[in-house]
Amino acid sequence: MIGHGRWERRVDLLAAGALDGSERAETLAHASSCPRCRARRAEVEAVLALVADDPVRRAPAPVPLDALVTRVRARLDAPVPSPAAGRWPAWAAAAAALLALVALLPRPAVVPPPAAAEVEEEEAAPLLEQMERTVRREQAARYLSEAQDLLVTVAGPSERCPRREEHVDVGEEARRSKALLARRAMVADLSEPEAGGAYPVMEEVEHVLREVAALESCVRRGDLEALEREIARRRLLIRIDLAARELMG
Amino acid sequence: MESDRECLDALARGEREALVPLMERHYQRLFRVALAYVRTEEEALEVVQDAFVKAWRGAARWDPAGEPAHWLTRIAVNCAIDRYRRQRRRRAREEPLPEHADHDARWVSAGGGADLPLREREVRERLDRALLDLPARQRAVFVLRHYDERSLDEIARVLGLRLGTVKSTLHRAVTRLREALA
Repeated sequence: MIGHGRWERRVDLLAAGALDGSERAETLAHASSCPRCRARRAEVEAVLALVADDPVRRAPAPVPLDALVTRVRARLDAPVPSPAAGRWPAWAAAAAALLALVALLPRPAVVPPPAAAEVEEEEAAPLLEQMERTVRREQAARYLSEAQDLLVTVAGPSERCPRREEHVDVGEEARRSKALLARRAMVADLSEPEAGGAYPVMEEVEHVLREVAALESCVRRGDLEALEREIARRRLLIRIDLAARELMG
Repeated sequence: MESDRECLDALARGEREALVPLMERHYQRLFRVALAYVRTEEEALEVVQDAFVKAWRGAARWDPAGEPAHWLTRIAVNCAIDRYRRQRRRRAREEPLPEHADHDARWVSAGGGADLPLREREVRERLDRALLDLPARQRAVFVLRHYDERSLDEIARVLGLRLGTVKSTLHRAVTRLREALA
């Protein structure tokens, strides 16, 4: 015995032309004797008739083939950033620069006079500190940028939870929040004075990420909307942008 | 003229001119798939360009057991999803979410179709809103089924999904569109 919810699913698929064989025949027979399913089928068919009328289906390509070929060739001929610049994160580039710098430093004599060695260390220390600070700020900026991507996803349309009316699936977002919170612990070395105006934004982002991480995989749509409103009320997306720019100098 | 398979083999050998017959045969179709997904002509054209650039760069990884048309469609759908997400993110950064706002409404207002007759423009705008409100996978499956006229089997192969997943995803998309449009 098929429950009515499953008939409705079949009726939707029938109207979408996605059933065949015995499944199609059974569903047709059911729909002919069930007024509710007949009405549902008519509704879906009306929607699909609207889709069939969509001018997009007849839209001509906006530029002729020759122009497309020219554009694609231009893209292929454009200089490609070097793999190192494209793939390496900024902190890795900074580390590489530091290594290069160390390699360029005057090499000590086999037995350097103690005074000369101390001078080298004293000169290198502030530079090293500055580079470490840059790395910390860049890590924090990347963390904020990824948190922003996540919050945009939370605020956007979500998949429904199968079998739970008015619930949406945020399992992936909760998992990503947990991973980001773990990353937050790694950028904890960035002190408040170093982070400047970005610091309170990082605090607020952490607060919202904790809320997302605490969500069950299926939540009521209303709960998610409350979270979206909270993100909007705090103007968090634009403030993250500003904070990330400040961190990157 | 060389077949699609021969063109992909040639691309994999580094013969760039083999892109031209592929573009000739698939440009219009991929443009409509992209347009059905991203809903603006400018973005759809960018998607098609992205797709052919990626086809050239990835031709060596094409599996000859598959259909070239499916492979190109998959690339175009992925490019459409990426481009749409990037645009949405950019818009979100430029403008914070107002309370209770439909996040994609601003995308729709920037959409195409301004030169269409009134009735067609209304149809287009209603569909823009409803389709842009679908999650990525639902929209991709629906577009391939109802704009590219692919069978469920083909959609499963294009998107690398199981047939059951394609069916349930299509059903969710249809349910959501029925609620939005019926």
